Amino acid sequence: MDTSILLHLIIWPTLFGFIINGLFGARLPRGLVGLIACAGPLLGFIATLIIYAGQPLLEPIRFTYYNWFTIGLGNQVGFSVHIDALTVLMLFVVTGVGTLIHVYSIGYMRDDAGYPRFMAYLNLFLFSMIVLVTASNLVLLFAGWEGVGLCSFLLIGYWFGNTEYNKAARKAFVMNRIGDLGFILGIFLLANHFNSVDIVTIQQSFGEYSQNDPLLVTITILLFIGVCGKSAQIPLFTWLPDAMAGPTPVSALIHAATMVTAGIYLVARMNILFSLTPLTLQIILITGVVTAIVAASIALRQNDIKKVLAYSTVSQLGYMAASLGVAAYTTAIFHVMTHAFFKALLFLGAGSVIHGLGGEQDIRKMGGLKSKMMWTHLVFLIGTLAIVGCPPFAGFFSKDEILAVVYSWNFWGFVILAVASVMTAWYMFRLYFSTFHGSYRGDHHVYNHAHESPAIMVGPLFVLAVLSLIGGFAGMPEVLSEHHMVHQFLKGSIIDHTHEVSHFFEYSLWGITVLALAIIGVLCYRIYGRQYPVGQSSGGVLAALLDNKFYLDEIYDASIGNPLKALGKYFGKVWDPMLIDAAVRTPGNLLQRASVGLKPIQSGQISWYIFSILIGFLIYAFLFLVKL
Amino acid sequence: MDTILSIILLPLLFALLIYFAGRKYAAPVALAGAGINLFYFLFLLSGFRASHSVENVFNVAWIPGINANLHFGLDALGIFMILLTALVLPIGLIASLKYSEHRSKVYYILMMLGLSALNGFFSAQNDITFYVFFELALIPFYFIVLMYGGAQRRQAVFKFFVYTVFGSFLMLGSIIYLHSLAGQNSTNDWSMLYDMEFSVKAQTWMLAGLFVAFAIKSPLFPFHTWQSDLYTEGDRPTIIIIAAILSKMGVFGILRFFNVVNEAIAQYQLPLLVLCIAGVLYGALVAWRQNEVTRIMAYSSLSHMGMIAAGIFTATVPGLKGGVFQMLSHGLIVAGMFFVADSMISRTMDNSIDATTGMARSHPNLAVYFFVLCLASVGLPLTSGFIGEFNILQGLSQIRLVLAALAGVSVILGALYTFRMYQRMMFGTPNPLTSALPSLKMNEDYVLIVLMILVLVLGFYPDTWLDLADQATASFLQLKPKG
Repeated sequence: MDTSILLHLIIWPTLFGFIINGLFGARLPRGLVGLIACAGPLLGFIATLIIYAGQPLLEPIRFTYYNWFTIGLGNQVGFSVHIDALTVLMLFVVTGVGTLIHVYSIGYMRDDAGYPRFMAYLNLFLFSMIVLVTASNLVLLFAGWEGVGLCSFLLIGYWFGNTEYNKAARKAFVMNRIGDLGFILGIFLLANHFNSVDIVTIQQSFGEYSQNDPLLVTITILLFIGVCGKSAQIPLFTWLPDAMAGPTPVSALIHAATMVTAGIYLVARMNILFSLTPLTLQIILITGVVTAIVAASIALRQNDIKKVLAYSTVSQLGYMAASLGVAAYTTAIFHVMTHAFFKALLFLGAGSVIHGLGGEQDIRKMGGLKSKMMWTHLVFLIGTLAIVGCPPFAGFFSKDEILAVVYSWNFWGFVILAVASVMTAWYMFRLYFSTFHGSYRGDHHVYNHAHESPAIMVGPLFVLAVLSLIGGFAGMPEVLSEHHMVHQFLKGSIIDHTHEVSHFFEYSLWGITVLALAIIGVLCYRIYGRQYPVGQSSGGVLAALLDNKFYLDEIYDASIGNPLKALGKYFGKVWDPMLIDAAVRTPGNLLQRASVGLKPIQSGQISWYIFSILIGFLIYAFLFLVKL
Repeated sequence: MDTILSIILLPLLFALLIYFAGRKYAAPVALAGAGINLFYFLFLLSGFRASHSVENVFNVAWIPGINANLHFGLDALGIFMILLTALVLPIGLIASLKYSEHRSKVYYILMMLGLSALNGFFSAQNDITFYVFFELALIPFYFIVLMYGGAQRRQAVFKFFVYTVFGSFLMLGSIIYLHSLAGQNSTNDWSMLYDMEFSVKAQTWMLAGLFVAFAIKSPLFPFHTWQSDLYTEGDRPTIIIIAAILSKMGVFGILRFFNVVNEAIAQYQLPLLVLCIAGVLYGALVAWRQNEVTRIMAYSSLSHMGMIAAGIFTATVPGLKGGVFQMLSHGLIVAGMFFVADSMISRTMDNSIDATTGMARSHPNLAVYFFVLCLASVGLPLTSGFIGEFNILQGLSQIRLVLAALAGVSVILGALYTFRMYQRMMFGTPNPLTSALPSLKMNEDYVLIVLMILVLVLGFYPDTWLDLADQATASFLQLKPKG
């Protein structure tokens, strides 16, 4: 089959879905709306599958729709597609998980008045995400990048009647834009100095640059600022927990599986550039490690089921960044993949719980749901085991690999990540046990109505559960197998540094992991699995810090937000009317006063002023005539 | 009638028609005039060969004593603004339809006179013609905002008036100075003027006078304080025209005189850029803390105009072409913004951003159009605003990266104040008052759909226009010494 048809099938159906559902969705039957919405990502997935099956992908497939605009000296920015192994893998995640979440959404959003609008937004998001991962140049990638940010804004604020949700949406967009500014400045530097923004040609033009060249370091740091915004790294991560205001499928799709991994994708995509700047890699490693532990520690004390998962996502993104920071790009992408499976599963499972409890999200008011929601319970358990890194679930392989590669470069980074893993196990088991075990602690009226979700929601959960169960085998560690499929597949797109760890280390890491998980599991069961500890245990300063997310929001407000607001207010209320205006009014007043003195009758009469302009002009014209 | 003179005379003809027509035909005749102007200009444009020359020239001796001709013609730079004028004037007129019972024939006659003068101004091919039409274009709009608008309009208009008169004198002074230096040399078109060599000192004086004049006109910080009062108190259909077109006269003037004072610009480039960027941030910060729709839009406009001026003063390829492109793009966006504001305020009689909570639920169409315009305003990719700002910021980055970073902060602030405004106006709990508001009239729908499409088309296919903008400014770079 002609590849260009496959490319069209990947890119356009989601856009058509958006347009049709956006324009006519309200008048179409709901079933048809759902069908149209799901067709887009499904077609994309199938086309990706065909490309994967039919092509060895030694050479990237390239196709230019048209020339978008020209920057610099004949540097054409095209609507062009670049498909190589990395793109294909990302497309699998985006369209695959995307399809499942679309299907799930049909059930989840069935009773919502804005259902067609919701499905249209989801399609638009997917379109932007596909543009992001298939773009052949950084400007088009940036268009997708901002596009997914926009859709995130629209979907977080989907229930726009709620002012708090609107604020969360705005916060997400603005925080992302802080990163975007860095990203675009990086693009400018690349365009100005290398006269190219193409992801392939640009990376071939650094030949004469030495490692840690100041220009390249500046560029990579600027790009990484963009990554911090999109992939919720410290210091720009505070928008992601607030983004949970959106409907749960949105949290699963955008704020866990796909959009937030765009930053990871960007660094992996530009791996040759980043490998030239070990200094930036060091910064990325530190950022990633700190993000992983800070977010994991906050998650320990959250009581909102979605908030726990949100901080968990931030923490996992920290792992991915840490992996990038040691130039193990493939490992990061591997974790992007497995994380997409189990985090989407967990979010959708949480959504199923919330759905079944009529909107309840507080785990203190849950408990004992395993009998009411058998299937949800089962898949949530699988998701939990996957994320905590229990062998042989998907998270085990990818997380183990991250720990190993970080260990080979930086011992303390490894230690912190290991501690974060312990925390991960703790907050996840806590979440699991307090939700599904023990006895129900909320309103019994709600409990009596609690129900398992419909098949259209449980179906996608099963698929994700299977993927969370077996997805890790795509990346068997070197100890067990010669064939790390992900590494094999991506080696055309990504050049990793080699990371070697001893077999002894690998085996002991596994042993400790299993042991630690067993201990934490038992402890959490004893604490949260029978009777949830009532009342907030006051843990002193540390607990207060964690409960308030290290007061980061407050610090940002006090140090940046509020001063700028005050400045804006001051300028508007004081400067504008008083200082500047007075300064320019004085000559005007003098003029007026003079005119009052000269011509008392005409003061302030506009018509006279117009007349005087004409007279004045005539006088000048006359003077010219006389002079010449 | 293939000279440019036709689009200057045509509106005058329609002014005359309105004068003789019955009062109730005034608005339709004016609209017909604006429509014919648009189509006639598109016809002229279709014959325009992409070149560096001036076409459709009309050139006659005018004031022989000072060797001044009345000289009009169509060139690449003028096309942007004449097109914008031709597109926006009908929009202003359509907005005025809802008040047409309260508007006399004079209102529409003045509109036609304004259209004629604007076409003359943007096609002026020498500085004398330029100056005369600069003044002429103001007069009709002065009168309109004086006669119609809010209760406080007299003070606002007076302020506007004092400001612009002050600016005009400075400009006139600069032009007289220029001619006194030029002596007997013929300056009958721009290229002759550009070929003249003035000392840097003389250029500096000219630049000072011209910059203040044009900064008042646009306005640019810190000469802007007439703006938000006028935009709030003035007759809103006229404000659409003022904000979209008249505000561009200032930056357009800078471009016209760029080659005359290019060495002075090169010498004072950094201070000029800093001033422009200060305005970009100042406007954005103030807009963020305003609670009146028209004031937010006014300060937003201040911020965006500063950005355009900054792009021009970079004297780089992307900065200049982005600046010119953004004149058109911002003109369309701001026309749409004020059109929406007018549609809403005319229904609620309330300029507060909290007056129409929940409007998105009761008026989904309006919410969509307005949203797309907001996206273009914040420069989201695939809207025209992105193309303009991307190029301008790239131009700044070629001067100094930190300048691009500072100006780029407005991209963040822009998202803040624009979405704050949008969410407060359109989102939130629906209130009974909002849902009772009449929905958009068909003509309002059409205007906003057309603007939305234009903004998107320019975002998807900007290259034709970017090339034209490149042509319009290419000569600026040849002459500019590396500074």
